[in-house]
Amino acid sequence: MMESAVDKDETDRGFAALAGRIALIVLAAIGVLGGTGLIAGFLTAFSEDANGTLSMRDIAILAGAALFVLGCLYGGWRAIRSMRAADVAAGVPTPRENRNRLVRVVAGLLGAVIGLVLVLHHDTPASSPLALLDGPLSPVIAIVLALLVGVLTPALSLYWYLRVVDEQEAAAYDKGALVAIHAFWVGAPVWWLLWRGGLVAAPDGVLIYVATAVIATVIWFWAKYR
Amino acid sequence: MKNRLKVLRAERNWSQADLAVRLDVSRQAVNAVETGKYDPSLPLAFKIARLFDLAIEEIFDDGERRG
Repeated sequence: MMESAVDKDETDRGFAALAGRIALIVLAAIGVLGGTGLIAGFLTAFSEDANGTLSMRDIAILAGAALFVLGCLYGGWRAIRSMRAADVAAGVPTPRENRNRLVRVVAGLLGAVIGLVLVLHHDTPASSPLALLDGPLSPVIAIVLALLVGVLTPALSLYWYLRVVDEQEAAAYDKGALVAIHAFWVGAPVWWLLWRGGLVAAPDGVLIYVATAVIATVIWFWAKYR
Repeated sequence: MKNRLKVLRAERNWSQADLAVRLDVSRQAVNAVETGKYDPSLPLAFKIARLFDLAIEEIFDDGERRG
């Protein structure tokens, strides 16, 4: 029997499938940024070495990194295509959903610009996955990025929250923010106390920030799409 | 909270997207309300009631009985 438009659950795209596609896109973005950073760092080191010549090993590393970046781009593109196909199959998006999508695209582009600038301007050896966030920046780049993060991002975020999302998504966002702020309020002092007791390494502000953002995002996603 | 949203929608042969456009929400929100995963705010509940020309308690059931 044919399923009518009334019976069809237009948003039942499968929570796990949607989560998997988004995880793939995030991993691909991280891979692109990491691979681009590796290539940029490698070429910077090479240009600073006056007598430097690219050995076969260097070329192999660069080619491998370039292939990795291309692979990540392809994987991310496939995941985005798959998401779009699932969305089309689910029916026509409402005007509010279209506005939401537009804001997310703008936010994604903004994040990509910030990420790329960070990757191309850091000159710290990638000794840890978070070294990207600790490298020194020129004052001009730092000010431009601070303006993007401190003015443009909150303006976009406020517009999204106050004008674009419906109340169900706002409630999901509130839930994520509530859990994240409590994780921060509890997690940060617990880490600090354990550090003072000599039991763990010193608290890492970047790690705490990233963990808080990840918790808020995961809870928002679960509350909105479950 | 239980509700008759899906039945009322079916009576009018509306899809989730049709109802979402009329309520100015996403399809996800309509689905979440229909399946009881999200209880609408009072303004949205009134909007739904007005759209179907019914009282709120004729659409939503909180399971409590009047004494």
